[in-house]
Amino acid sequence: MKNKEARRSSSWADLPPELLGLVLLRLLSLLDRVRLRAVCRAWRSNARLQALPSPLPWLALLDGTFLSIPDGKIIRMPAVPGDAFCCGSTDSWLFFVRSDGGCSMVNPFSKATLDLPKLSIKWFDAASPGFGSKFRKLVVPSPLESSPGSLVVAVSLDNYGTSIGMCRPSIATDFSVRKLVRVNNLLSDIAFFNGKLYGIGHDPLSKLSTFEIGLDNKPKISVVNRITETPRLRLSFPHDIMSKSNVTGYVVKEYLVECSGRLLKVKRKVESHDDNDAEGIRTWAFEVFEADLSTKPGQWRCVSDLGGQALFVGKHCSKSVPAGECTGIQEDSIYFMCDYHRGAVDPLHDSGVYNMRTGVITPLLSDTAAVPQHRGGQWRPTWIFPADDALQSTQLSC
Amino acid sequence: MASAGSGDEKAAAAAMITLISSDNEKFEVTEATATLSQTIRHMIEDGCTDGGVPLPNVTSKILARVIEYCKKHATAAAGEEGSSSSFSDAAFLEVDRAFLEELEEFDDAFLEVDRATLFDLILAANYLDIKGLLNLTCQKVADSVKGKTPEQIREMYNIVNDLTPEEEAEIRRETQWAFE
Repeated sequence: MKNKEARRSSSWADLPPELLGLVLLRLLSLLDRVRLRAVCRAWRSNARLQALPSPLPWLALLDGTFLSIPDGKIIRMPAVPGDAFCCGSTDSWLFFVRSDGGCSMVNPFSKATLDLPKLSIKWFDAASPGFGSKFRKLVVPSPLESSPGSLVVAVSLDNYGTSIGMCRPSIATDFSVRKLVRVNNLLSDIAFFNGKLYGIGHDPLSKLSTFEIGLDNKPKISVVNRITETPRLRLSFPHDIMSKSNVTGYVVKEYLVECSGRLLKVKRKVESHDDNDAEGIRTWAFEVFEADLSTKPGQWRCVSDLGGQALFVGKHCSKSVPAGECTGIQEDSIYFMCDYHRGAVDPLHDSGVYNMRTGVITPLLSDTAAVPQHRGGQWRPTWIFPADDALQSTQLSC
Repeated sequence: MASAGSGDEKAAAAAMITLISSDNEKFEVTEATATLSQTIRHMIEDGCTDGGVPLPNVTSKILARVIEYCKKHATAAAGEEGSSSSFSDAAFLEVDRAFLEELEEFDDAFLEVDRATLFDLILAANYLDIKGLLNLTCQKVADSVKGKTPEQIREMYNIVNDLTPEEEAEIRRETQWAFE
């Protein structure tokens, strides 16, 4: 049999492009796609003809490696600036802060780098253990690769309240939101939606505000409250969790994320423990609300599915992605990780996939994947969505 | 199932098609088996199957395997149709699951072939337009390369590395992380 195969040794290299494409369609990991394209000349050129869904997302771990979800592969990317640490991300860009306070956006796939002007955001705090732990999130109104001069907005929390920093390659401005929104309304999350910046507060009323940004000559920012009512929660706290001896109740963490033309508020319910036992704390449910801005003031409307999309939520990056069998991502599900500790806690310790249809939480990694050992580090845990350069503009959404 | 199922089978058995491989071997198959191939289905619809269907791209060795696959899947499809009309929903689901399990076992065993046969099966499935077989064989290839390095893939599929040193360097430069 070996001889017979050897006689036809050229045949697999000659696999017609459309059939090689069918194989590639079944490779959801960017790692596998890149390696397949590196096998021979024919595969290298033919593989570029197939339109493919976006590859599987990665989770940036604290030690600077990336975990592919859900196959559990660890990827090491060398394209990291010297003494910088990753504090956040947007799409396939990582946000790095250096020890001197300089910031840059790096796309480790295209190797593009965008240096950002310095902001007065305090990146360090002697009282808290993590590097850049004051930093919350960085958002952009449109993908950075299509508009490199784009506005970049960063939010941080310091002792005086929330700061919003905005910059373009030539302009940098910081605002203390506390002055603008008064009362103790610290921002818990921000997101761009239809070109406008929205934010939700930490207070129980959880207002949705729009930030009108003007950057023409003198940068300015103003706030309009769009939704002031509190959405009614549907799920009650389950008895079996309440009966655990050290559980005192639950806390709600909120994320704001754009999904298929809708602005969603995701409420994540996490047990609270009387002994502050970080290792034991678990998320037990999610509820999702859609901002209905057609009325004044607007209202939060409860939603029970995501229209076939999936959400990846985190303090430093949230994003909706197409889901379904051909993407390897579960439809109508919320992917989450442990993003709420300032210290070097394993991001996988309170992580999972919440299925909105069934209310069941399953592990982030598939059964066959090896769970990586947690090694501490200075990076903040965040999602990154690999860009497949060979695809260019032909990506499928299926 | 007894009445509906055997009725379908009888109707299918009445129409036989002759397939002729590239090495001139003749295979008699039922129309139900043959029409899993969209290519042959169109030929039947166009009425051009009298005197047999020549398949110059498929050897007798591969055609025999393809027919084995089609027979199994055509029987399963006929069984499902028959059962749906005469079983309660619960019983239907039970039968359905049994069929699926049996088919999966068959598919797994069917794929236990050498790389050269797998390659020919992919080409035949594509030429004959048999969606299920094409999915099955392409999935087999995809599963076999997952987690493998380019060198391991070349070895597995007997592919000569014809990339120039410059091209290799370019690949490394662009995607060094994938080869660590």
